[in-house]
Amino acid sequence: MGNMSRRSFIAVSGALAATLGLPRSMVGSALAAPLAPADVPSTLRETIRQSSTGNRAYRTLLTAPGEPFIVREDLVGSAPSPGRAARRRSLAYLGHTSDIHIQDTQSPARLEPTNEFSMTLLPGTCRPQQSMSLFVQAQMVKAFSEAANSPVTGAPMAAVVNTGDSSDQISNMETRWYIKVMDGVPVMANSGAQGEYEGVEVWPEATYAYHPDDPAGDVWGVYGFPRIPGLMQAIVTTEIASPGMPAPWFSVFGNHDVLLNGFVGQDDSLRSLATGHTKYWSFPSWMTDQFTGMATDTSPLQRGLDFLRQQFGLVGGFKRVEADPGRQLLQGQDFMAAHFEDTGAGPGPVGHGFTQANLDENTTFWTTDIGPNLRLFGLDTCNRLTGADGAVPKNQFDWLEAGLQECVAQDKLAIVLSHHNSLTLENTAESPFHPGEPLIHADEFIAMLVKYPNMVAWLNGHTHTNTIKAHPNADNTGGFWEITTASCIDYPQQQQVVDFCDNRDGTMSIFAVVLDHASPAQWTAGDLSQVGIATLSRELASNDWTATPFALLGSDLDRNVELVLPAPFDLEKISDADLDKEIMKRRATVLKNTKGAGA
Amino acid sequence: MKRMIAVLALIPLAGCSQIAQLQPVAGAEITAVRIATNDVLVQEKVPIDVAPTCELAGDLYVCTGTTRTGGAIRSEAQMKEAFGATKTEYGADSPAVISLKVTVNAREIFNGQVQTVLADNAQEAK
Repeated sequence: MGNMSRRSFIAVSGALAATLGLPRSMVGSALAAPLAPADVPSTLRETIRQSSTGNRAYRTLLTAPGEPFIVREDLVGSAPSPGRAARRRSLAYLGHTSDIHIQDTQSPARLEPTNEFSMTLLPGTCRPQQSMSLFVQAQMVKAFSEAANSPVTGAPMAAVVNTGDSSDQISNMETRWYIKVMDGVPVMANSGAQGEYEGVEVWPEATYAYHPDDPAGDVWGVYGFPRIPGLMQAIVTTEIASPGMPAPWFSVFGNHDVLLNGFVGQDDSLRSLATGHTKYWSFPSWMTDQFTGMATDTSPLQRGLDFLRQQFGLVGGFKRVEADPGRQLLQGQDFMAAHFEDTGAGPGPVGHGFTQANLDENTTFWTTDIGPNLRLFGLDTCNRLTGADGAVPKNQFDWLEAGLQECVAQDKLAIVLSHHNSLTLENTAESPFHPGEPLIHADEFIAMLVKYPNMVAWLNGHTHTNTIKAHPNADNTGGFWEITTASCIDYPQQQQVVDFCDNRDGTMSIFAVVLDHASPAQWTAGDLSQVGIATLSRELASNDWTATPFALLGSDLDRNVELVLPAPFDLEKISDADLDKEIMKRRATVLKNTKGAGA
Repeated sequence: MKRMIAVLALIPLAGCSQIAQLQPVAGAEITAVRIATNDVLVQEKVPIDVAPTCELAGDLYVCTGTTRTGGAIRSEAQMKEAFGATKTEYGADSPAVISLKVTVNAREIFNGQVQTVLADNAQEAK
């Protein structure tokens, strides 16, 4: 902390130690160390690729060389100054997670039976690795914890932003599981019956599902998916440990947090299904039952006969499972409210971006400052009526534009967070509950954002694909970077860290670095530990022939990159001394959240 | 549930019509084209000033960008067959093979399939 006097340093470090309840000597020595690029596990060091042996057969994964930064100059007219690396300083270092898709795969309210009809019609409704999502998230949180200091500048992580699809099937249970893992609270990936997995992966009739105990009779076994006895049992009996995020984390809504499977609404019958004991594996049976319920004859006699048909297995196509009231579907403010519950651990903040005003006014977008020079805008681009893709409601659009104007006036950098990205803001389904509230789509949204030079980055997810795009302003003198991360559920199961740097030459560089979750590339046969299951999940995902796993990696220009752009204002207004104080606070917070490991 | 049933009721159409997938998320194809174009450029060590952006022009995906010397980057891609499993160059089945041609200053630097580029990018060096 070379820009602070010794007296100031002692005062600040002492105050931080007292505030955080850490020993003064520990905090003092950790904070005194100069910032230097941290040698953390990331894809700069090592990547994971698929074996090229064979063509259609199941393939394993292996390690490959790391990927160095590629400099992207799309938004600057000339090559950036070669001396910038020696001058640069970090303004904010963030973690970016998205599309975690925690899944309670034993829940009856899932669309798995549709796969009986077609494996690719509704992608993502019965992935071979679907039951392992909590294991992946926990190992991803570990990766963020290990990357608590920037591999570019050594800056401590200031915040983690989560751009939605935290649950998969609008489930309260999935939502609470994800929050616990973010906070470092142990959790078991089990619902319903204790110590027993009840789902399509153990029901031989559901030949569309992967059956690790014996895949010989399913469509995955034909493709060479391995036999792994005991895997499903291990999944529901392993207590999953997570170190918790190293910095305060913030969330926005994703379409899977508001609609079933991200695109259809719910009603009473679906809510009953979720908490009931009937889990369908057969599509025709499910539809027959549902259509019967919708038929014109809804007399008590007919309903009684329908009930008896089900109870005596005359319909077939379903199994009785242990009912679990915890599987209730998210309604109203449930998703936001869950972020206010105290898990007894975690870095906070209360609400994780959502505010009491959100609950009081039933709004779902928020803003918060990360230090004195950076403002986050958390949008809700989800459509609550129908459709996976989204749009920006006019009231949010106007609110955001006013906020960006304020950022310009106050010399703050602005970062917009949303679930949907520029390819997927095209949903036109206007809510009947808000008639006349226009929806703003990608072109108009981007045209507004580029008017404000302080708007430097838009972080989002949704497409599960590493994607980075430049959005130039009207006169090609600047613009902003759109940064989309891959997901935790589909291959490559990658997320990212982002370091916003002042090059001190009138330009900024935004460094995006891709993280693999903290699990080895290669699975060791028989390893059913937490790490082993996470590794296996990645391997299975890379072989998911119903998806397009290779495309989701993105290109070289979408992964480890330095994104250059003109500084939106004179960044020297941010003094080194003020920045040092901010970095000290962040370091102390990381120190506390990593229990000293992030020093 | 009624809305869901209405959606699910469309499923039988898949077997007898042109519906191959109820694709709830937009942009997968154009993204694949953009990724493959970028990968070809990086593989060929083309110095990129403005990375290609892509749009649908008729039945072609067209991506354009510029090199650091102001040269024109252009790629064109087209689905070879609308639906149904088709063999890719690297031997896998793909629901829709997309052909790709990439040029720099009108000089062709790649002519093949999107899927091949993506597979090469995702697999160990051969």
